[in-house]
Amino acid sequence: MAQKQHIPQLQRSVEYRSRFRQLLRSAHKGPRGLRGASWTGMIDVVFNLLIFFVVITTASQREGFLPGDLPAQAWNQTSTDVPALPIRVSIYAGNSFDDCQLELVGSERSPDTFRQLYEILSDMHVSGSGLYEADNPVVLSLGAGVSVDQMVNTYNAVVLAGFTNIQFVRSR
Amino acid sequence: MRGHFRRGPPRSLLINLTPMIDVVFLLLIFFVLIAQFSSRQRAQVQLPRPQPSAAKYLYSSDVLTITVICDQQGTLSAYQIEGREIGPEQIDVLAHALAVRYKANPQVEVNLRADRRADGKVIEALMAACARTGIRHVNLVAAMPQE
Repeated sequence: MAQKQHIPQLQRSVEYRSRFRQLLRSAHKGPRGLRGASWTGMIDVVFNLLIFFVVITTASQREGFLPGDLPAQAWNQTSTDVPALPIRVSIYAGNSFDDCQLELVGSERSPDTFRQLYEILSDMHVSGSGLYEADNPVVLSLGAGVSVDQMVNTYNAVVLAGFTNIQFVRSR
Repeated sequence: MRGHFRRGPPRSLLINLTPMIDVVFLLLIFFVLIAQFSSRQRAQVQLPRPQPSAAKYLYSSDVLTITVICDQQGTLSAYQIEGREIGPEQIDVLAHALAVRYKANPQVEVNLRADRRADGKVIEALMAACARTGIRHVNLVAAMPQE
Protein backbone atom coordinates (compact mmCIF):
# COMPACT_ATOMS: atom_id res chain seq x y z
CA MET A 1 0.00 0.00 0.00
CA ALA A 2 2.82 2.36 0.93
CA GLN A 3 4.53 1.72 -2.40
CA LYS A 4 1.29 2.45 -4.30
CA GLN A 5 0.98 5.81 -2.51
CA HIS A 6 4.56 6.79 -3.47
CA ILE A 7 4.10 6.27 -7.23
CA PRO A 8 1.90 9.38 -7.96
CA GLN A 9 4.22 11.50 -5.77
CA LEU A 10 7.21 10.32 -7.82
CA GLN A 11 5.37 11.05 -11.07
CA ARG A 12 4.53 14.54 -9.83
CA SER A 13 8.14 15.26 -8.86
CA VAL A 14 9.37 14.10 -12.31
CA GLU A 15 6.76 16.37 -13.90
CA TYR A 16 7.86 19.34 -11.76
CA ARG A 17 11.50 18.75 -12.63
CA SER A 18 10.81 18.71 -16.38
CA ARG A 19 8.73 21.88 -16.06
CA PHE A 20 11.52 23.56 -14.11
CA ARG A 21 14.01 22.63 -16.80
CA GLN A 22 11.70 24.07 -19.45
CA LEU A 23 11.41 27.29 -17.47
CA LEU A 24 15.19 27.52 -17.13
CA ARG A 25 15.62 27.00 -20.84
CA SER A 26 13.07 29.64 -21.74
CA ALA A 27 14.63 32.12 -19.28
CA HIS A 28 18.00 31.54 -20.93
CA LYS A 29 16.61 32.26 -24.36
CA GLY A 30 14.58 35.27 -23.31
CA PRO A 31 11.08 36.08 -24.46
CA ARG A 32 9.89 34.91 -27.84
CA GLY A 33 10.40 38.26 -29.59
CA LEU A 34 14.05 38.67 -28.60
CA ARG A 35 15.12 35.14 -29.31
CA GLY A 36 16.67 36.06 -32.67
CA ALA A 37 18.31 39.35 -31.57
CA SER A 38 22.11 39.44 -31.30
CA TRP A 39 23.26 41.54 -28.35
CA THR A 40 26.82 41.72 -29.65
CA GLY A 41 25.75 43.37 -32.88
CA MET A 42 23.56 45.85 -31.07
CA ILE A 43 26.37 46.81 -28.69
CA ASP A 44 28.65 47.29 -31.73
CA VAL A 45 26.18 49.66 -33.34
CA VAL A 46 25.60 51.57 -30.09
CA PHE A 47 29.36 52.05 -29.59
CA ASN A 48 29.77 53.15 -33.19
CA LEU A 49 27.01 55.72 -32.74
CA LEU A 50 28.68 56.92 -29.55
CA ILE A 51 32.08 57.34 -31.27
CA PHE A 52 30.41 59.06 -34.23
CA PHE A 53 28.73 61.70 -32.06
CA VAL A 54 31.88 62.25 -29.98
CA VAL A 55 33.88 62.85 -33.17
CA ILE A 56 31.23 65.19 -34.57
CA THR A 57 30.96 67.29 -31.41
CA THR A 58 34.71 67.69 -31.02
CA ALA A 59 35.04 68.89 -34.62
CA SER A 60 36.86 72.18 -35.00
CA GLN A 61 35.03 75.43 -35.79
CA ARG A 62 33.21 75.37 -39.07
CA GLU A 63 34.47 77.74 -41.73
CA GLY A 64 32.50 79.44 -44.46
CA PHE A 65 33.50 81.60 -47.38
CA LEU A 66 32.53 85.08 -48.50
CA PRO A 67 33.16 84.93 -52.23
CA GLY A 68 34.82 87.78 -54.10
CA ASP A 69 36.06 88.53 -57.59
CA LEU A 70 38.93 90.91 -58.17
CA PRO A 71 38.78 93.35 -61.07
CA ALA A 72 40.74 92.16 -64.09
CA GLN A 73 43.79 94.27 -65.04
CA ALA A 74 42.98 96.93 -62.45
CA TRP A 75 46.20 96.42 -60.49
CA ASN A 76 48.39 97.20 -63.44
CA GLN A 77 47.01 100.72 -63.55
CA THR A 78 48.32 103.50 -61.40
CA SER A 79 44.84 104.57 -60.35
CA THR A 80 41.34 103.31 -60.88
CA ASP A 81 38.38 105.61 -61.37
CA VAL A 82 35.68 105.26 -58.80
CA PRO A 83 32.40 104.37 -60.58
CA ALA A 84 29.87 107.13 -61.21
CA LEU A 85 27.20 106.24 -58.69
CA PRO A 86 28.67 103.91 -56.12
CA ILE A 87 27.38 103.24 -52.64
CA ARG A 88 30.26 104.29 -50.47
CA VAL A 89 30.79 102.81 -47.02
CA SER A 90 33.59 104.23 -44.89
CA ILE A 91 35.00 102.39 -41.87
CA TYR A 92 37.12 104.18 -39.29
CA ALA A 93 38.90 102.39 -36.47
CA GLY A 94 37.88 103.39 -32.94
CA ASN A 95 39.79 103.49 -29.69
CA SER A 96 39.55 99.77 -28.98
CA PHE A 97 39.75 96.64 -31.11
CA ASP A 98 35.96 96.11 -31.23
CA ASP A 99 35.15 99.77 -31.67
CA CYS A 100 34.72 101.27 -35.12
CA GLN A 101 32.72 103.97 -36.83
CA LEU A 102 30.65 103.33 -39.94
CA GLU A 103 29.57 105.94 -42.43
CA LEU A 104 27.29 105.48 -45.39
CA VAL A 105 28.09 108.32 -47.74
CA GLY A 106 25.05 109.88 -49.37
CA SER A 107 22.51 108.32 -47.03
CA GLU A 108 20.42 110.12 -44.43
CA ARG A 109 20.64 107.16 -42.10
CA SER A 110 23.94 106.42 -40.43
CA PRO A 111 24.61 102.91 -39.18
CA ASP A 112 25.99 102.29 -35.67
CA THR A 113 26.40 98.54 -36.02
CA PHE A 114 27.07 96.08 -38.82
CA ARG A 115 23.52 94.80 -38.49
CA GLN A 116 22.17 98.31 -39.05
CA LEU A 117 24.44 98.69 -42.05
CA TYR A 118 23.00 95.47 -43.48
CA GLU A 119 19.43 96.69 -42.85
CA ILE A 120 20.02 100.07 -44.50
CA LEU A 121 21.75 98.46 -47.50
CA SER A 122 18.91 95.94 -47.81
CA ASP A 123 16.44 98.84 -48.02
CA MET A 124 18.57 100.46 -50.73
CA HIS A 125 18.60 97.24 -52.80
CA VAL A 126 15.90 96.73 -55.45
CA SER A 127 14.58 93.70 -53.60
CA GLY A 128 13.95 95.95 -50.59
CA SER A 129 12.06 98.66 -52.57
CA GLY A 130 15.30 100.59 -53.16
CA LEU A 131 16.83 101.86 -56.39
CA TYR A 132 20.16 100.04 -56.46
CA GLU A 133 20.64 96.93 -58.56
CA ALA A 134 22.65 93.97 -57.25
CA ASP A 135 25.60 94.77 -59.52
CA ASN A 136 25.73 98.43 -58.50
CA PRO A 137 29.25 99.09 -57.22
CA VAL A 138 29.71 99.28 -53.46
CA VAL A 139 32.98 100.88 -52.43
CA LEU A 140 34.37 100.05 -49.01
CA SER A 141 36.75 102.71 -47.82
CA LEU A 142 39.01 101.47 -45.03
CA GLY A 143 40.54 103.94 -42.64
CA ALA A 144 43.89 103.43 -40.97
CA GLY A 145 43.97 100.74 -38.26
CA VAL A 146 40.79 98.95 -39.36
CA SER A 147 41.04 95.29 -38.34
CA VAL A 148 40.29 92.20 -40.40
CA ASP A 149 37.25 91.59 -38.20
CA GLN A 150 35.76 95.00 -39.00
CA MET A 151 36.63 94.65 -42.68
CA VAL A 152 35.07 91.17 -42.99
CA ASN A 153 31.97 92.22 -41.02
CA THR A 154 31.41 95.16 -43.36
CA TYR A 155 31.98 92.99 -46.42
CA ASN A 156 29.58 90.41 -44.95
CA ALA A 157 26.86 93.04 -44.41
CA VAL A 158 27.16 94.18 -48.05
CA VAL A 159 27.05 90.59 -49.39
CA LEU A 160 24.11 89.79 -47.13
CA ALA A 161 22.21 92.82 -48.44
CA GLY A 162 22.46 91.33 -51.93
CA PHE A 163 25.23 93.36 -53.57
CA THR A 164 27.78 91.56 -55.69
CA ASN A 165 30.09 94.26 -57.03
CA ILE A 166 32.21 95.19 -53.99
CA GLN A 167 35.43 97.14 -54.17
CA PHE A 168 38.00 98.16 -51.56
CA VAL A 169 39.55 101.59 -51.37
CA ARG A 170 42.11 102.72 -48.83
CA SER A 171 41.48 106.26 -47.68
CA ARG A 172 44.49 108.49 -47.77
CA MET B 1 30.83 7.55 -44.77
CA ARG B 2 27.57 8.47 -46.45
CA GLY B 3 26.48 10.21 -43.26
CA HIS B 4 29.33 12.79 -43.56
CA PHE B 5 28.01 14.12 -46.86
CA ARG B 6 24.42 14.38 -45.78
CA ARG B 7 23.02 17.84 -46.22
CA GLY B 8 22.08 19.71 -43.07
CA PRO B 9 18.93 21.72 -42.64
CA PRO B 10 18.61 24.62 -45.17
CA ARG B 11 20.31 27.82 -43.93
CA SER B 12 18.30 30.99 -43.38
CA LEU B 13 18.56 33.39 -46.34
CA LEU B 14 18.03 36.49 -44.16
CA ILE B 15 20.87 39.03 -44.49
CA ASN B 16 22.41 40.14 -41.21
CA LEU B 17 22.41 43.96 -41.36
CA THR B 18 24.41 44.54 -38.17
CA PRO B 19 27.91 44.11 -39.64
CA MET B 20 26.92 46.27 -42.60
CA ILE B 21 25.79 49.09 -40.30
CA ASP B 22 29.04 48.65 -38.34
CA VAL B 23 31.16 48.98 -41.45
CA VAL B 24 29.19 52.00 -42.71
CA PHE B 25 29.61 53.79 -39.38
CA LEU B 26 33.32 52.96 -39.21
CA LEU B 27 33.83 54.34 -42.73
CA LEU B 28 31.91 57.49 -41.79
CA ILE B 29 34.03 58.03 -38.67
CA PHE B 30 37.18 57.36 -40.70
CA PHE B 31 36.36 60.04 -43.26
CA VAL B 32 35.31 62.56 -40.62
CA LEU B 33 38.62 62.03 -38.82
CA ILE B 34 40.60 62.30 -42.06
CA ALA B 35 38.86 65.60 -42.88
CA GLN B 36 39.68 66.89 -39.41
CA PHE B 37 43.34 65.93 -39.66
CA SER B 38 43.70 67.65 -43.00
CA SER B 39 42.23 70.86 -41.55
CA ARG B 40 44.48 70.58 -38.47
CA GLN B 41 47.49 71.10 -40.75
CA ARG B 42 46.33 74.68 -41.09
CA ALA B 43 47.26 77.11 -38.36
CA GLN B 44 44.53 77.79 -35.83
CA VAL B 45 43.45 81.43 -35.96
CA GLN B 46 40.56 83.41 -34.53
CA LEU B 47 38.40 83.96 -37.58
CA PRO B 48 35.93 86.85 -37.91
CA ARG B 49 32.47 85.74 -36.81
CA PRO B 50 29.89 87.98 -38.54
CA GLN B 51 26.27 87.69 -37.41
CA PRO B 52 24.07 87.31 -39.36
CA SER B 53 26.50 85.68 -41.72
CA ALA B 54 26.53 85.48 -45.49
CA ALA B 55 29.36 82.93 -45.35
CA LYS B 56 28.60 79.68 -47.11
CA TYR B 57 30.31 76.48 -48.12
CA LEU B 58 32.00 76.66 -51.50
CA TYR B 59 33.43 73.76 -53.37
CA SER B 60 36.31 74.23 -55.73
CA SER B 61 38.57 71.62 -57.24
CA ASP B 62 41.66 73.81 -56.88
CA VAL B 63 42.02 76.02 -53.82
CA LEU B 64 45.03 77.72 -52.32
CA THR B 65 44.59 78.73 -48.70
CA ILE B 66 46.66 81.56 -47.23
CA THR B 67 46.47 81.91 -43.46
CA VAL B 68 47.41 85.19 -41.82
CA ILE B 69 48.81 84.60 -38.32
CA CYS B 70 49.20 87.44 -35.87
CA ASP B 71 50.01 87.92 -32.20
CA GLN B 72 47.74 89.11 -29.37
CA GLN B 73 48.27 92.77 -30.34
CA GLY B 74 47.27 92.09 -33.94
CA THR B 75 50.81 92.44 -35.31
CA LEU B 76 51.41 90.21 -38.31
CA SER B 77 53.75 87.36 -37.34
CA ALA B 78 53.61 84.99 -40.36
CA TYR B 79 51.77 83.79 -43.42
CA GLN B 80 51.02 80.13 -43.92
CA ILE B 81 50.70 78.78 -47.43
CA GLU B 82 50.42 75.09 -48.35
CA GLY B 83 51.42 74.10 -44.79
CA ARG B 84 54.59 76.21 -44.95
CA GLU B 85 55.10 79.26 -42.76
CA ILE B 86 56.81 82.29 -44.21
CA GLY B 87 57.78 85.51 -42.51
CA PRO B 88 55.84 88.76 -43.00
CA GLU B 89 58.73 90.31 -44.92
CA GLN B 90 58.87 87.43 -47.44
CA ILE B 91 55.96 88.64 -49.56
CA ASP B 92 57.96 87.82 -52.70
CA VAL B 93 58.00 84.12 -51.71
CA LEU B 94 54.23 84.31 -51.37
CA ALA B 95 53.90 86.02 -54.75
CA HIS B 96 56.07 83.31 -56.32
CA ALA B 97 53.86 80.56 -54.84
CA LEU B 98 50.78 82.33 -56.19
CA ALA B 99 52.35 82.67 -59.63
CA VAL B 100 53.26 78.96 -59.72
CA ARG B 101 49.72 77.95 -58.83
CA TYR B 102 48.21 80.36 -61.34
CA LYS B 103 50.45 79.01 -64.07
CA ALA B 104 49.35 75.47 -63.26
CA ASN B 105 45.67 76.42 -63.20
CA PRO B 106 44.40 79.94 -64.04
CA GLN B 107 41.05 79.10 -62.41
CA VAL B 108 42.64 78.56 -58.99
CA GLU B 109 40.76 80.12 -56.07
CA VAL B 110 42.49 81.72 -53.11
CA ASN B 111 40.99 81.52 -49.63
CA LEU B 112 42.22 84.19 -47.23
CA ARG B 113 42.05 82.96 -43.62
CA ALA B 114 43.05 85.95 -41.57
CA ASP B 115 43.06 86.36 -37.81
CA ARG B 116 40.31 88.81 -36.83
CA ARG B 117 42.80 90.96 -34.88
CA ALA B 118 45.12 91.50 -37.86
CA ASP B 119 45.22 94.81 -39.69
CA GLY B 120 42.90 95.00 -42.69
CA LYS B 121 45.73 96.28 -44.88
CA VAL B 122 47.22 92.75 -44.80
CA ILE B 123 44.17 91.50 -46.67
CA GLU B 124 44.48 94.38 -49.10
CA ALA B 125 48.12 93.52 -49.73
CA LEU B 126 47.24 89.88 -50.35
CA MET B 127 44.40 90.81 -52.69
CA ALA B 128 46.78 93.08 -54.59
CA ALA B 129 49.32 90.24 -54.84
CA CYS B 130 46.61 87.91 -56.18
CA ALA B 131 45.43 90.49 -58.72
CA ARG B 132 49.00 91.16 -59.90
CA THR B 133 49.44 87.43 -60.50
CA GLY B 134 46.17 87.23 -62.43
CA ILE B 135 44.14 85.33 -59.86
CA ARG B 136 40.58 86.65 -59.81
CA HIS B 137 38.68 84.49 -57.36
CA VAL B 138 39.53 85.42 -53.80
CA ASN B 139 37.34 84.32 -50.89
CA LEU B 140 37.41 85.68 -47.36
CA VAL B 141 37.09 82.95 -44.73
CA ALA B 142 34.79 83.51 -41.75
CA ALA B 143 33.64 81.30 -38.92
CA MET B 144 30.21 79.84 -39.47
CA PRO B 145 27.67 80.47 -36.70
CA GLN B 146 27.05 77.55 -34.35
CA GLU B 147 23.60 76.01 -34.82
